[in-house]
Amino acid sequence: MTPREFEILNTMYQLGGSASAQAISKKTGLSLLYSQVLSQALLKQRLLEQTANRLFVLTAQGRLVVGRRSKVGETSALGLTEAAHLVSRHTSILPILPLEPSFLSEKFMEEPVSFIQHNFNKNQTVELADTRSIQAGIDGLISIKK
Amino acid sequence: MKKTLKTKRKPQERSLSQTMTIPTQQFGKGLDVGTAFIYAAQKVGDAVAFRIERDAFLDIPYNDHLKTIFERDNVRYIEKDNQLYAIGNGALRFANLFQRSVRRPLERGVMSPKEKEALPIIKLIIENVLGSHRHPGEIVYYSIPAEPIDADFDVLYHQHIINDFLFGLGYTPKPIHEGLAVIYAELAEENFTGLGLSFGGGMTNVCLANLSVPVVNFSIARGGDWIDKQVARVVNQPVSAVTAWKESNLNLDKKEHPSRIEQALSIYYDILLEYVIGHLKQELEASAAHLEKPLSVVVTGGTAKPNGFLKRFQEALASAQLPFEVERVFLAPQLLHSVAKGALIAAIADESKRKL
Repeated sequence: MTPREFEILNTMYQLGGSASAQAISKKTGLSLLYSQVLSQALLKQRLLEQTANRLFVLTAQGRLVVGRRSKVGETSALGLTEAAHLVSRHTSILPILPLEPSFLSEKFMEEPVSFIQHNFNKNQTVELADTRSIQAGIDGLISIKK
Repeated sequence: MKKTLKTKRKPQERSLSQTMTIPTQQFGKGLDVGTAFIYAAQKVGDAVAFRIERDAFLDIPYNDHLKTIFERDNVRYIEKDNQLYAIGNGALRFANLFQRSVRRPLERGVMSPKEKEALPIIKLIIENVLGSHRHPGEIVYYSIPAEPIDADFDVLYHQHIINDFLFGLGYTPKPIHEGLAVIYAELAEENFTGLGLSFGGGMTNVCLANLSVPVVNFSIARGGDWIDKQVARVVNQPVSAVTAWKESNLNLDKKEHPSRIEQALSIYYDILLEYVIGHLKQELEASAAHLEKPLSVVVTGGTAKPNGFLKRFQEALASAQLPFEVERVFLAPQLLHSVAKGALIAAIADESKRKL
């Protein structure tokens, strides 16, 4: 993994685990195209996955990588590995990762699949009904719950 | 001339303002996470829009030609590594073509532990039918089955997975039991008092509510899929073929010259009804609940769709002698939409509370 790719992962972590290509580009200061190329590479490594609305999401494996690379120290007790305070390359302090049971193998934590392509937005079945069919229910429920 | 124009315009303006109802935006969405179908409901202007996807997929080795066919025939698919996954009705169609059975991400109302791909597929389907939130933290009520009384599993893992996923999409997720959603959708006139039964694909959910409060709430781990499996076994056909046949042809009223498959379906429908009503009687008796007036019973769900189902249900109910007097038994007007509709009603009512 290149330092730039790690930077993307780190940024994703700071952004709460999911972000659009634009948000990543803005946060890292990289061009949109370059951050997209890097994100695609991370998709292939299954460190990120992409949702149908084009958001990139950090996978469990991606979170592990961020944790491992950023660790300053590691302590082990009662089978649990505690990730210490993490310091990113830009010296901002990351929140403490949740306790991660050390007996969980990377394979177990691996997200099952990341889908490459789909045509889900095509020909969605939509049926319409009159609102009157629900309005009585809404009014009744509001008045009964008051 | 000018005067006449003015006098003509004024009444028009008045009548417009009097008759035109300005569509008010009502936030909140309902999601029915069913074993057979996923329905999302939201209010759009003056209509309720339901977006639907069949909860099924079929894996087929990647093939350019097949992909072209999928595109041409509007089959919804996912492409992953060297596999194509047909989703929804397309999966059922191709399963029948290849003499295979579709795979289901959900089994008996909850995430299938047997299917490795279940989680990402269910997430994609939900994300697609639900769409984006209209304001951050928009409330979405999603259906969950009640605790099953005849099977050793709980719904907690399933509930938390769906909850976290919806939260990640920016919604405020809230669970609602399927049976209660049916009561919200269909028993408003009875002040949300009565018995709701949802005969779904994976489970049958039952809820007895009094003034919208659930008094008895349980599920039975048998539904349409159970019927299909038993029938497929006795007639030696793939389950998908039985499902497709059942959905398009079954008439439980038909008495003369039934085919083997019709005969088998009829037998297993009766067994299912007997099983459900037997459990219902036991639970109602054990609850010792008291209701002031005779019960209204609403029946819904895809398994209740064939002609003649209501008649058989009424007969089975009458012979069971429930501890309550039954006033009327009726089918919901839109059998497949009830749960999503009930969840939507709960969501809109909750959103309106937020504004107050």
